Amino acid sequence: MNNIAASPPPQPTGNMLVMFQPNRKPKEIERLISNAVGAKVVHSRDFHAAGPDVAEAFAEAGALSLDRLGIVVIKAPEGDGISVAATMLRARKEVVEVRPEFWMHVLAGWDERYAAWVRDGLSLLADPALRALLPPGGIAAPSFVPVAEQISATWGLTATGVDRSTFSGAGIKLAVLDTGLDLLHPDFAGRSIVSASFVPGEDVQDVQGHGTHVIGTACGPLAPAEQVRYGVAYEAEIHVGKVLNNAGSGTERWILAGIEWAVESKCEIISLSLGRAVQPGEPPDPFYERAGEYALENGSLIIAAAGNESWRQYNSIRPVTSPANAASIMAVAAVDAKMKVANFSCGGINPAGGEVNVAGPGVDVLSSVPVPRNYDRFSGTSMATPHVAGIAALLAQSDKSLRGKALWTALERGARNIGHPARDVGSGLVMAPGTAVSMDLQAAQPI
Amino acid sequence: MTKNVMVLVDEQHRLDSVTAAVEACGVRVQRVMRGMRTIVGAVSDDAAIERVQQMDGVASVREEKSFAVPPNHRDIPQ
Repeated sequence: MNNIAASPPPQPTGNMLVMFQPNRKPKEIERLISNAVGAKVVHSRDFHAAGPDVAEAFAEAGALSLDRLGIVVIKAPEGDGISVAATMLRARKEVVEVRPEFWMHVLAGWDERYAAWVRDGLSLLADPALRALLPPGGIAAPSFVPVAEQISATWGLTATGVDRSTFSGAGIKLAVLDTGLDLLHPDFAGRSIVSASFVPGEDVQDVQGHGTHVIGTACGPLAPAEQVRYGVAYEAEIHVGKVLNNAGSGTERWILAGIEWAVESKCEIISLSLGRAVQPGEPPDPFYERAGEYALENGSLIIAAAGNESWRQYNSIRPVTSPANAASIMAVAAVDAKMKVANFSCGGINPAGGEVNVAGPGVDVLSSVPVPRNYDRFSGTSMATPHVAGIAALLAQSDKSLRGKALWTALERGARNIGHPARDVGSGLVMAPGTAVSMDLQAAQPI
Repeated sequence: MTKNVMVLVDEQHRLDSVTAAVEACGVRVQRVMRGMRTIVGAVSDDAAIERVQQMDGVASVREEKSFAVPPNHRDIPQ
């Protein structure tokens, strides 16, 4: 089942949509399309703006590849051609889905328009009455994230008081250095986004998914159309630094260059949901000590994931990873909705920076992922970190003097004691400032 | 075999002069991140790394590594 509002009856355009598995090479897609329907493929990325040019080129060539979405639109051939072509394509292992294209409400650009088509098309497939319009068999069942949270915000936002805070992160620049952001995600339409890719040959568009999830938690909207609220600093200016490639890995120079860019861009907060395991007794890396100091000297605070190497259910607690173990970088552990320390969450084993500083919600965290999936739940200190980064943006908005080390101190002072040793959660669970409602509730309590 | 390396310059020495000296040791300098006092580059032999290690003004030098996040999966901690 899905939670998308009923759509008007679909009108097939006569064209066909083919969805490919992620990361297929454009040449490979061109060859498959050419074999199946004899069409030439034009690429959306070759057209800089929506307009008649792309439509003309599509009409002439017969197929338009929306490379970032992994979708090709094929102009209907005459007669029975389309069903033959659909059968051929559906048999290929590279193809996820083949279905008719429907007319939908026109949105802004081509890419947005197709993102909506894909999303709405999948919801239409869930309606049995509409299946009659589709070619028989071969279409994968759509998967949707159920609305499990019947309240107005995710558990993480409720636990940290974000849903009761009067702050939004307005006027604060928050950088997330990760796999990028899905710029077509409906929840980020109209947002103020600054981006840069430090990965040679790849743009900031998130293919892997990790970055979109993390940015969703730090900066997602106040009232997403199809989900409960999951984002903290919904009015912060998002700085997307792509430092991990589409396969999810990145070299240290990309990451350091991303930090440099974020500091030079005057981002008050830099969120780093990445790390590398270290050994007990291993000292912090001087490169990241220096990077963290450079950020603090310039009024930026780097907040990093403590790491996921522990197996606490077997009494194995592993040390905070690098770069979170740098004394100049804040380390974030993960707790679940019952305020239990996550089994995977690294602990403060090593001295001189290897401590955990605060904890954030990091188990079963709902946030955005690239279209057409749109939302998913993940666990990890990667998820706890953007909660802290977003709350740091709220604090920075609440008081202009809270920058760099002062912001760090304020995060620790505001944290709530959840009954665990500092080794596991540092000062405790990070809390949002300006939770007026909770103060009222406290005042209303009988003594 | 070419190796990518990172060099951290200490606070007591001028970044520009250390960068020039690092280059003279056989490091092909590709980027200098001034605020972080970090030089990234490439070497074609390990001896160059050892030469840089001995230099005045070099706080740290080592081969560049990489980071990775796991595949997106509900059961794999991210």
